[in-house]
Amino acid sequence: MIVHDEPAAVNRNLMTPGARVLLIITAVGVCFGAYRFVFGLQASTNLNQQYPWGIWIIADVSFIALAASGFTTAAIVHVFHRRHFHALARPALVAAMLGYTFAGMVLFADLGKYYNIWHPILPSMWQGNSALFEVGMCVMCYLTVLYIEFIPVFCERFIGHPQWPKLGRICAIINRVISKTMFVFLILCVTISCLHQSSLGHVMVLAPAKLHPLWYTPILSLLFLLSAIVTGFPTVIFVCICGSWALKLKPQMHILSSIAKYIPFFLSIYLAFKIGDMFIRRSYVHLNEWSVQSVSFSVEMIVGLMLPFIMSLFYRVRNSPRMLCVTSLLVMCGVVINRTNVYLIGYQPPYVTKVYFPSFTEWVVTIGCVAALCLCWRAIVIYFPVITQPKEAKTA
Amino acid sequence: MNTSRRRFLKKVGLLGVCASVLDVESQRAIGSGTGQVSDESMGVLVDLTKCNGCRQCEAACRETFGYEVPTKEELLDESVFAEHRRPDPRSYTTVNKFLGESDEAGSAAVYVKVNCLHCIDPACVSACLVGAMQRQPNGAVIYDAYKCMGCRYCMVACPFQMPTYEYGNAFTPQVRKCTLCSDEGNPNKGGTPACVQACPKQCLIYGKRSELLARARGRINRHPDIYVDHIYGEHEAGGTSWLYISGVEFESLGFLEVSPEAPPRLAEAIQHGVFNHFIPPVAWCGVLGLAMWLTRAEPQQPALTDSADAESVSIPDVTLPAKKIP
Repeated sequence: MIVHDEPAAVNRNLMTPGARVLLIITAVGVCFGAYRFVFGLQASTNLNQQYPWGIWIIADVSFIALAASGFTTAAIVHVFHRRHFHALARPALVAAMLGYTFAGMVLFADLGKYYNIWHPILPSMWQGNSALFEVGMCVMCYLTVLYIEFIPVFCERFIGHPQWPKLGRICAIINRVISKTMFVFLILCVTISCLHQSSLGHVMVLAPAKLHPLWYTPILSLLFLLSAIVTGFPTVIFVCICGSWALKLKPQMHILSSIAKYIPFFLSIYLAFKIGDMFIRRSYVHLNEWSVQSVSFSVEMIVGLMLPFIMSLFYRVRNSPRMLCVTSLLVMCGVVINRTNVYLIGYQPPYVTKVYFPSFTEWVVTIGCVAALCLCWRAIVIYFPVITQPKEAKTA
Repeated sequence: MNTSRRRFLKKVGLLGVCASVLDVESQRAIGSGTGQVSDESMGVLVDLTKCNGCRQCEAACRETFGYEVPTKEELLDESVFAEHRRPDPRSYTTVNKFLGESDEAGSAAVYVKVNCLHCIDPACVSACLVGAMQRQPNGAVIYDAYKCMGCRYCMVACPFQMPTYEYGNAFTPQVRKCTLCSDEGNPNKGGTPACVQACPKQCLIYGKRSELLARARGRINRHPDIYVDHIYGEHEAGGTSWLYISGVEFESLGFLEVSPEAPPRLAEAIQHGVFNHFIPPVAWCGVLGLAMWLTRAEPQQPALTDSADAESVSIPDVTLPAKKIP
């Protein structure tokens, strides 16, 4: 019989050789990020007058799409009370929190006047017609909600801490207050996420002439929401399996493979909408173009959606950690490719003099952010009670 | 969840009150209004048949905004026409040369002045999340650098690809585009734009948009042999303040075929539909709250988190081996 324990900090060394590599990549990324802030966007990026949005914006929307793991898991565990998946809630929360935090950081680097990033808070500057206004407000609200959700994790770490008894007592009080109001934040978490994920798609609805017809659709916001929901569980699975490997724990396949049953379900809904939309708008005629766009669309559909859909139907795939990890990674890639397509590859400015390709700095900063994200996740699960391990594993 | 239903409802109610307060504020924010064509709406009519490519308008524009002005020799230099230049952060307008299809004598060259068209229902104004892009009563679309955070969504949204960005400026980059000489501190503010004043061929006419439209229509009707029957900007993207008439089809002059529907109309309709006085989001909160309430653990088991028994009771359905989906 499987017996669940409380989440506990994992007793591992933070600095393994792998973690050191991540640290170096992060440091290089930070240096190049600093270069951007000193010398400006022209010196560090290949953005131009035709392509105002580049790989940093894609990193933003991709981080946020993958951070959908936070709200989907919160929904299934805390709203629909499927207690069986309880062990996934915290790893997903941490992943989402970090995803949004790093999306915020990349956005900060991408903004021309980053010091004005707080302007959307001012009611005198509110512009309620803008999709990006909705995005901005939701990101700020949701980041706050995510950090509030993290408070119990933080508090539990210090309750009854032998070295700081006073901090422990304060944490206990905070924890009691937070736990009573937590349901409000959980509902907000899901609602804001739904609004936010959809508004990210809605951003491009304002540019009907510039977005390739394979992706331009008035229901882009709905497709973005669906794809975010699709990617939620695969991301949790990926994080949990890779996390267990990195921490030399046994992946909890009994939980992961049962949550994996939702993957084909959500994928089929998303696929139905995507293909239905394609047929209603008759955009399939563009598949014959054999342009970068049509190929990229096919890759998105086949590698990112259909392949993982078929794979996830198999019992054997869902029960093998390696295969399940690959399937989940494919779904995640599919969503990242989709965001890349909508924001960059499908974006066709009418007058192009110079085609955009990300500069070295843009790559390094983006990769640095991913490395930093992994490192932070590792640090958090080592220092805070995030991962729930079965009792047998612990006593063994 | 040991909160009583009453307290739960109270909190949901509180959320509703917050939402309605937000609603009032947001309605104000939305009300700022992408403009209608009012009597004050000004514009410029460009008669492409009259332009000889002297580029005096470019020079006047640069002078007005304090950029380096091209010398006489540079203005006479035809080599700039080798490529079709787009406006950039240091020149808000450019003149490009197009060789007509019937270019036998080399005299059929058409010169096209390119600059922000000052849409009546501008996508950039709808796009800007902090309201840094605003349409003035006179029709000019003006940028406020103080509000701008540099997201460049205006550039993405513009169907004519007009706003440009000062990427080279590391600390205070701005969006740059034609202001119809209506920005604060412009010497021509309230009067005729610099480029119109500079034009020696009367190719540019500044006036009320309604009057310009009538004039353009009159010219086309009087000289159907000279002009094609199309006023570019009358309907494009919901109508623009700059209007063009030409002797050659606009498509061959680098003008875009733009849908007559202003892009913000669909986008804003969907967004305000989703938010509709915050009813859908609040209703969604309610649905989630209800689901949360209905699926809560029935008996309050005190040691649910810790006790092995409690845990195993609540999960037997899912711990069974997963069924194979065919």
